[in-house]
Amino acid sequence: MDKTVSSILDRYGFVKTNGIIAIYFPSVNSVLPLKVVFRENEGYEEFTYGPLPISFSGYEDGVLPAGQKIEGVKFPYSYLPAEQRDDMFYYTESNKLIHAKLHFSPIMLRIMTEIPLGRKIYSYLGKVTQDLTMDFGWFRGMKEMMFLPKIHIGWDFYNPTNLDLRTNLKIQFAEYRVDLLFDPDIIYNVIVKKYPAYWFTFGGKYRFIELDDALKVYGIDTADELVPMFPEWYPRDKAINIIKEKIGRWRR
Amino acid sequence: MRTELITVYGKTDGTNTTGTLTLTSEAFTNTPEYIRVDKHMKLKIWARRIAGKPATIYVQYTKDITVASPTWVTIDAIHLVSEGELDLEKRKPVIIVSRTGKEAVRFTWEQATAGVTHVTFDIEVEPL
Repeated sequence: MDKTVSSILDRYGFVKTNGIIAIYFPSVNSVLPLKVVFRENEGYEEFTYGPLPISFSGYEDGVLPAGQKIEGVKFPYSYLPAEQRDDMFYYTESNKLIHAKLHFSPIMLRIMTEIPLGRKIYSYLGKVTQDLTMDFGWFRGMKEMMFLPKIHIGWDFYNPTNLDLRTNLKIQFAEYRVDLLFDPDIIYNVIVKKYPAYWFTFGGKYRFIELDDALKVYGIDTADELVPMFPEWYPRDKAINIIKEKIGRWRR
Repeated sequence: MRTELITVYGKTDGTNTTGTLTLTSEAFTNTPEYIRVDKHMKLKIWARRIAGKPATIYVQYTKDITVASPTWVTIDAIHLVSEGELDLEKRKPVIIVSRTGKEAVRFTWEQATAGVTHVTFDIEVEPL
């Protein structure tokens, strides 16, 4: 049996039905293990979003003028109900997870994420906070993201050229129906990388209260109840007991 | 990593025998006379098309666009000998690398007799 991670991924890099997703939170050095029950949109992964939802006075919509930046952008979608309309990736339903690859163009744009909205997640050596106009802390092109319930993620954009750039966003996404993983042996083997799972690191090293709100939707009261990242030398029996203690407090 | 392929267009003004092309493109909405390349990006000029009256088109770059009078250096030239059309696509592009974020590229013309000449460049922008 193929036990590699690639065996649980499809051609887009999204997790297939019955695959396991391990979301790692550096802020608490812990893992949320989820099982993909099924993919709600399998076969329909493309979302042709269009120009970025930005507007500057005197410019057509979607144009990021030369030398300008804009922060805290969310992606509205007018077909959603009013409470979700201003952020297509915000949801409150339990047992759901959205995994997306956001392709931003043109490639010259510098882009940063705020997780949650309003919070910059990285500072170099803990001393120099990331910024679009600095030499680090941003990316170009494509960003992969897991969107958890009840968390708004902000997007910052900067145009470092002298061109008033017409922007575009193409999205590829997977809308998963997920369940918490309750098998302590599988959870342990996922953490020590003996069982294939798709790993994703969410957020930065600073803890934020919205994470607890998201986890409550899944049936976990706080981030302290997540499964710790055990080092490889940690005794297996002790690790399993800790896992059992944690999952014993999760709500099914 | 993904790159961006952009077509830019300019034309001589038909009045002056020398000048700097004003650029248009579907990728941007303004009409600049140069393209500033962000730090640690490369600008590659792949194909050049020139049509109309005879002209020599120069590709020039500057290391620092932020000073009051940038120094422009010519790094390529395309010559349309007589009225007509020339389509040049080379295996290897002209490359401008931005190390500081202050580098820029522009296109200028020179004609023996002023006339309208249309110029198109296919350029690719990619991270270093």
